[in-house]
Order: sequence, then C-alpha cells, then structure tokens
Amino acid sequence: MKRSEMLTILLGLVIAGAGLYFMFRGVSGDKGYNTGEAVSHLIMLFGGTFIALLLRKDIRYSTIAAVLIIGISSMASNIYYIFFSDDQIAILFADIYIIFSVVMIYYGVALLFHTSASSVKALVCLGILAATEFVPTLFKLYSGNDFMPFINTNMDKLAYGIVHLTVVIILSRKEMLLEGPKKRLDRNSKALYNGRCTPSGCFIDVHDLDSLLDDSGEGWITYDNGPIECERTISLYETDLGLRLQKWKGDDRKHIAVCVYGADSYTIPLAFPIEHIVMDNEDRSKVGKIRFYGDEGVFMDILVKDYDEQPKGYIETIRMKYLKKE
Amino acid sequence: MNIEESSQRLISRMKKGTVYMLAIILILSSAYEIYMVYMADYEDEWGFLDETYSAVIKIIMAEFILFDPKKNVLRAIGFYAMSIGLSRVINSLSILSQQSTFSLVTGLILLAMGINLIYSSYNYLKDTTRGRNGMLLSACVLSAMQVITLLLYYQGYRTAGSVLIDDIVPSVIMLVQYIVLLLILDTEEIRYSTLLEKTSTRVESVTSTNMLLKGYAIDRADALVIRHAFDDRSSWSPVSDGGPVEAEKRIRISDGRIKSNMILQKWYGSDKIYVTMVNDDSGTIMLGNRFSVTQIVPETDDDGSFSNIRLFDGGRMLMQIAVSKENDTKAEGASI
Repeated sequence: MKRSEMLTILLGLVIAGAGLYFMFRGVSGDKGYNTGEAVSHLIMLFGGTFIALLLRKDIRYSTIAAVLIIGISSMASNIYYIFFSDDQIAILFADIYIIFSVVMIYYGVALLFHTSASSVKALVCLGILAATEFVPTLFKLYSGNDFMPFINTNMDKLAYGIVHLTVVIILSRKEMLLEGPKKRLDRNSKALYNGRCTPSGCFIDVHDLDSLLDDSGEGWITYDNGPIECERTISLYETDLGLRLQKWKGDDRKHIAVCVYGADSYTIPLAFPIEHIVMDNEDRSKVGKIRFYGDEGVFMDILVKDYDEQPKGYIETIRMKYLKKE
Repeated sequence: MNIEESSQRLISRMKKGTVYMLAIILILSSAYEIYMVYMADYEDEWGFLDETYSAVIKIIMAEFILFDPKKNVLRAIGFYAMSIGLSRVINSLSILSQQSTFSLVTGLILLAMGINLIYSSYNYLKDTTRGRNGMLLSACVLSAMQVITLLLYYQGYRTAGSVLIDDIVPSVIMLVQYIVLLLILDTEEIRYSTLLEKTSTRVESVTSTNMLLKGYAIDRADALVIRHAFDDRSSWSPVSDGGPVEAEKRIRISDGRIKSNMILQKWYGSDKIYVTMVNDDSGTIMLGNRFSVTQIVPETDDDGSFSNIRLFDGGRMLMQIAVSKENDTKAEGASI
C-alpha cells in the first residue's frame, strides 16, 4: 500500500473516529445534545468513513472532502450557539469558528473547481481553528487552574483541537500536500533541467570505476525478455541523474544510458553504445575524469571523485562512520 | 586577471569572511552572557538558566561553524540562526515562568519566533534557503522587540535621568545579532538559492543549452574559428587521448549575462564537424544539444566584416550566430 493511501485512510479514520467519539459524549453526557451538534457529528462520522473507504486512492478529492467535511460540521455545531445561547463568550467563539469554517469551505470549493491549486490556505484556516480551541484553554491553565479538573471539564475543546491539528499534520505531509504554482514550477523546471542539462560538478564515485570498466561489482540485474541481457545502475552524485550500464544480447559493446536515478518511470535523454573509454590517468585510483565515446560525435565527460573524501555535514559523517562499523 | 576573475575572487573571500564573522559574533555575545552570569545575582532559577544555556548554545554553534567540513555561508547562517532560535526559546520559557499577561504575550511571541528560526535554520543546514521569508519575519519581529525595549529604556532615562548600562548592553548586543542576520539574508548568495532564483537558473541553463536567443553573439575571433573550421584548425587543441577525436575547440556564446558553451570536434575519418552545446563545459558533460555540421556560411566572404554566420547539416540549416560588433568598434576607435 502506498504511503499516501495509508495517510488518506488515517485521515478518514481520524475524522470518523472524532465524529463517533463526540456522538458518544453527546448522547451519554448530561450537558444536553442539540440538533446542530448531532448533525455535525454525523457529517464527521459518515464523511470520514467515505474518505477512508472510497477516496483513499485520490489525494486531491480526499483533501477537498476533508476540508469541506470539517468546515460544514464546524458550522453546523456552532450555528446553534449564535441563535439560541445566552453565553456571550460561547457566541464570540462560535462567530470565530463560523467565520473560519466559511473561509475553509470557500477554499474547499475553490480546490474542487480548480480556482485554487494549493491546499495551504485551507490548512491555515484549519490551523487557526485548532489554535482557537487550544489557546484559551492553555491560557486558563497558565492563569493557575488545577490541571486535571480543568482538563476534564474542557475535554471536548481539547479533543476538537487535537483532531484539527492531526488533520493539518496529515494533510501537510509531502505526499498529501496539493502543490501550488511555485512548487509545480520548481518540480517541472527540475525535471526539464534533468532531461536537458547536467550540473558540471556532478561525479561518479571512484569505487564504481571497476563496474564501469570491468563489468564487476554487485547489482547486475539479468533480463530474460527483450534485447537487454543485464544492467546495473551507477549513482551520480550532486544531481538527480544516474547512469544505467547495459549489456545487450548479441552485442559485445557496453551501452550507457542517462536517466533520473531511482525512478520507477523515466525517459532516457541520452544513450549510446560505448566505442572508446579514455581516462586522464592510467592508475584507476587517481582518475579525475573519464570520457566515453559513442559514435557520430557523441561523447560524455564525467568527473570521478572519492565520495568518502568529499566534505560532508556532521550528521552525514557520523552516519557514515556508524554504517562502516556495521 | 580580468575584472570578472577579480570580482569572483573578492566575492569568494567575502563569503569566507562572512562565515568567520558569524562565529566571532556568537563567541563575543556568549562571552558577554557568561560575564553577566558571573556578575549578576539571580533571584529566580530561570534567569540564571536562560543566560547560561544561551551562552553554551552559542559557543557550541560557533564551534560547529568554525569546524564544519562543508563550510559555506548557507550552513553558517543555519548554525547562527539555530543558536539564536534556541536561545530565544529558552528566553521565552524564562519569561513565561513569570505569570502575567504581559509576560505571556512577550513569551509567546519570542517562543513562536524562536521555533520559526530553528525550523528555518534546519533547512539552511541542508544547503537550501527554504524558509528565508520566515527567517526574515522572525529576525524583523525580534529586532523590533529589541528596538522597543531600547526606546523604553530611553523613556526611563528621560523620566529618571539615569539608566543602567548593564540593562542596555544586552539589548544592543541582541539587536546587532538580529541585524547581522537580516543583512546576510538579503545578500545575493541567499537570494540566489531561493526557489524562484533556482528555477530561473535551471530554465536559463535549458535555454542556453538548446537555443540561441536574440542578443547572443560571439567575438569576431571565435567567428573566424568557426568560419574556417573545415580548412584551418590551427587554433584548435589537438586531442591525443587514443579516442576518435582529432582536435577540439571550445567557444562561448553570450548575451553579456547568460552564456552558452559550444564544443566543436573534428573526428578521425569524418568530414563533419561535431558540435555539442552545453550550459557549462568546466566539469562533467553529459546532456547537451548535439548536432553535426557539414557546411559553414558567413554573411559575406570578407572575414573582417561579416555580421553573422550560418551552420548547415546537409540540406538543413541549423542555426545563425551573430558576430559581436563591440570588438570591431573598439578596433576602429583604436585605429583613429
């Protein structure tokens, strides 16, 4: 199961679970349970289940559904206080919840109709709702209320705050976040760059030279189908690209292909059979640059460096030492 | 050494200087905080812990900056901002421990700004400038708070007629730290690592590899090298690496700002000139725009006056390169 699918199911379960919990609290509690709250909790229960069961493979629609469900349920549970409550503070907070719920519903609809591309604004509204639930509670605790009795009496507000915060955390994960124009520009320009250009500082590790030159080393994958007999991938550092070294059936030459490293789907912007290999030093441990010649004017220069000796950050250095010990 | 090389060397020195300057500022401010701890008589435990931990964190981060194997400006700013962020978080806890509404508001603002600085600085340690705006906001808010504090001291001085230097100096030191951060965040180095600048650079690289746009031109000397690629390769570098290349010549085409690099090659046993266009020809060369040329035609036959040159492959025209008029004008001026 993909990570995004797991997160979507979790999202649905959190919302549905919260709906079920508040229904139970409302029915079993002695504070009274108004129609608005009952509708709100039903929306959360059925909406969350809908997301977990039917929208788990669709990040976009599950995000829109979550935003709309929370926005509508928050409106439904708070609208009662505006018309029927006499508690001024409760009315004030209900106003705040409803204003941000309306804004959130607007952004949910905007996402649905593609007038907005990013989910960040909806998440900010959700974050404000969570803060509105947490901050007064924390302020009262800060002002000297006893912890446990106070928590017991404010359990519902804290639970709402935790649910909203959890939804924000889930929807702001890298896999779940709907990208805005800036992120898309970044991703697409990177893809375009990786398909057309190479950073001049990228290099292969000197320890991978043997694989390139002698077919040695581990990681060769053999194929029964198709024209390729076997291939292995070699890392290129300081770029997203990698080299695919291939042996083709019935061809003594090695083939080299450049493509994005570690991707499931990719195109190959450059591939050729290697006709000549030239190094700037005969001693393999001292090679600084290697040149591959194909035919008809095709060549490739690649810097060769010792990856272990490249400057690294503190954490990476510790990690490497630890891994070496292993 | 030309102007470009001199300015590059100067910028490189300034970058190194910035790294050391940040470490020195941290060491000096922590030294002052240790002095304050030594001199002060703390009534509450938090005040003592605040100053002591802040000083220790700053010294540790200064060491991290100085002994960082991947030393660069981005990482130095990361460590610098992290030390300020951590000390602000501890400071905010110290303020929040005094139960009052004013302490709560001040403490929460400091806490939020401190956490934001820590988060942004973590991104800088990964050599990215993600969170630059957040860091700018934190540094601005914290600077504003210090300025307000100093103005309050000034008001106190106006009414009471005196003020304790020991009250003002910490605020001034703090303000200097924030201003240094603000100034560095606004430098070219940091701006060039932002998402928009990175995107622009990538798109420019793709453009310069694959296209020649309006304004791109080569010097007449380089134009003559291309013009005579089939009959006079005396200025080319012979390649004797055992491979198929007989000679190679590298030419830079520029519009004054963006550069495109053209690698011309003559292979043994081939009548064609092979061309590889890349965005940077200084290190690894893999992906680029590759084509062969069978005919090169200048605008006129006079080597001293043609204003463009055209490249053909068989019956197909590939490109036209303009010849820069700048050098011609200079030469004419010199002869007069």
